[in-house]
Amino acid sequence: MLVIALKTLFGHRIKVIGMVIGLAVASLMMTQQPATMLSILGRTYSFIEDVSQPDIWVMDPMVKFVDDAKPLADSKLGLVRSVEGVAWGVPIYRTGTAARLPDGNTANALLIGVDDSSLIGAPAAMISGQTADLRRTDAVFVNDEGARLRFAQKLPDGTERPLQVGDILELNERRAEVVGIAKTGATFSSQPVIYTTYTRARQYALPQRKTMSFVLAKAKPGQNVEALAARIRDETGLAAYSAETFKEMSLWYFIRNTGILINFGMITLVGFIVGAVVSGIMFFNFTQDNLRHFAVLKAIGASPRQLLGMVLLQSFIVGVIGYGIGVGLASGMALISSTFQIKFTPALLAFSAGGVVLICILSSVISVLKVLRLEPAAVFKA
Amino acid sequence: MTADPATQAKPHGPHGPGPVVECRGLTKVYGEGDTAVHALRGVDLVVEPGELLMLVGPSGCGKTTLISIIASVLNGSAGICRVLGHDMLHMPERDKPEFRLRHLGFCFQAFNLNPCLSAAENVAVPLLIGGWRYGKALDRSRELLQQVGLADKADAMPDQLSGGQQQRVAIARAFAQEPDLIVCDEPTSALDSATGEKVLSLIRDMTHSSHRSVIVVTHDARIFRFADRIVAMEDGRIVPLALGAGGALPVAPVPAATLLPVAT
Repeated sequence: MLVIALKTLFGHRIKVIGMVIGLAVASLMMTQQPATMLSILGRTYSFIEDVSQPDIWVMDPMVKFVDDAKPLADSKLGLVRSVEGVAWGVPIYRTGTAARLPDGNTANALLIGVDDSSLIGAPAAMISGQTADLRRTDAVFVNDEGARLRFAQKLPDGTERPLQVGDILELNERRAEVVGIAKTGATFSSQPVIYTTYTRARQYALPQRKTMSFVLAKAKPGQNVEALAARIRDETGLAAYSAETFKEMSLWYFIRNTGILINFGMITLVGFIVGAVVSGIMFFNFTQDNLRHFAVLKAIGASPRQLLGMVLLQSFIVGVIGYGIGVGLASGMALISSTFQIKFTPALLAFSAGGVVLICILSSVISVLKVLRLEPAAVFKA
Repeated sequence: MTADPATQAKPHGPHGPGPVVECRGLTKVYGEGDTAVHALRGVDLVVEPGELLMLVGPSGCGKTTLISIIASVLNGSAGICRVLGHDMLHMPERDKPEFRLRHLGFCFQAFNLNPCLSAAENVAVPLLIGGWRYGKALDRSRELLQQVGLADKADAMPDQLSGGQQQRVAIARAFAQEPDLIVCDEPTSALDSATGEKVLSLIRDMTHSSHRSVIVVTHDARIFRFADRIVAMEDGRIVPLALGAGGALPVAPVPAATLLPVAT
């Protein structure tokens, strides 16, 4: 029976191609769009993930998300450190700056100043150079994406080369030597990120009375992080959140205040609907064209279960092919735009596969009903 | 675990004593009230084992309705219709596919071959429905195609076959499961005279050689001579069949005459 189902299916090449295209488009949109959205949303908290060591982020109470850092007085650092249960607390500085590149161009960048002594807050993964290199004179790290894109230099022959270790930048008319390329998550605005020590960052930045953006705190062993954060809030009057909570805050700020979720969600939904409609119509037409043959099978003695199995197998096969092509195209597009760092997580692939399965079920429901309700006596009509 | 259906060969001349088909006062009404259409108005019909019976009559007289009920693809309204001892009017719907698969073969006016399957695969359809393995089913199909003279066309697609060849493939398909009763609906209406006669000759030979029963619904007077018996219908009833001058077979059924067995 399965052979009959498959041969009948592939005997209608044009319709199969139509169904597969419909499902491939749906699969592509249901995979690529959410992946892009997740990639963008992931950038909203990538800085928190990159600074992996602290348990708690302490900040001005008016801060709503990670890019919304409001400067704190340096005295707040001592307040946080004095809260019972805090193992250590270090300052981190986060501000915007303009970097002059070796070729004379300038580009805006995000400047991060990490604790001078512990270097807590420095990126954990380095592509070239070591964390300790940051202690060298005028030393800075640049993130990989920034080095490859915005900080890439135009060579006399017209080609571009990424910023490399040894290159010299100029930050606020001060010399900065690139001593390492860090592997970090991309920022929401795709700005290059420059890491240096806290003290040096203050020199690079424009003069400000308050410079500390956050206090990064570590809970002593056995401390409940959420309870400690609450204690810090109570005792310092500052806002304090666990890293996870701060990530969620940043994520939801962007979801609430931008159209990202709705826009990408709409495109994904449109992909689903287009796929369902195209595939559904094609599959229904295919079944309609074969109703007489289904009636013959029914008259000969095929059971409803066998007929159902045939229709579902046909639907499943076009679903698998369409899904494979769609995900393949999405992967290809991700490779082409590799700078965008789109990741296809198992959950995302399961989501789009679920969407394709749903389309297949919706597409085949009408066909299945039509076949099951078919009067076998129809075979005696010429 | 079920046994391989291919190894469960049915005994030849399968049916036990008694008629293959027995209809008494069979009626079929489509619709209700003022719009009701009485397709069958008390049909009495018996088909004996090994008999090739032709059911003739004008369009709309109820022939197709009658064979549809006999073939368990349509429910009768009242009366009795027993096929191989099974009560067709009271058989549960869920049992009918299995009954048709095991006991009935079909031959249709429009051949109804699947255009995406080869001749051998079309013949194998009832076997595949019955759970045969693909390879064994194809082997059996090739044997059947040899019997109908199409051994060299086993791999041909339906659109590569003539009308007569397609009908022979359909006949092979009807005999694939070694059914007790074969129901043929206008098997020659789409064929020219010579091909139609060849097809009926083939049906008769296969029927008699295997002692199976066949009901052929037809308008085609040219093939009447192949029948063991002809039954005429008109307005939903069985009517007597008139012979032509000198006892010749009728060109068309004529009411108010004697129902006669036809010598073969």
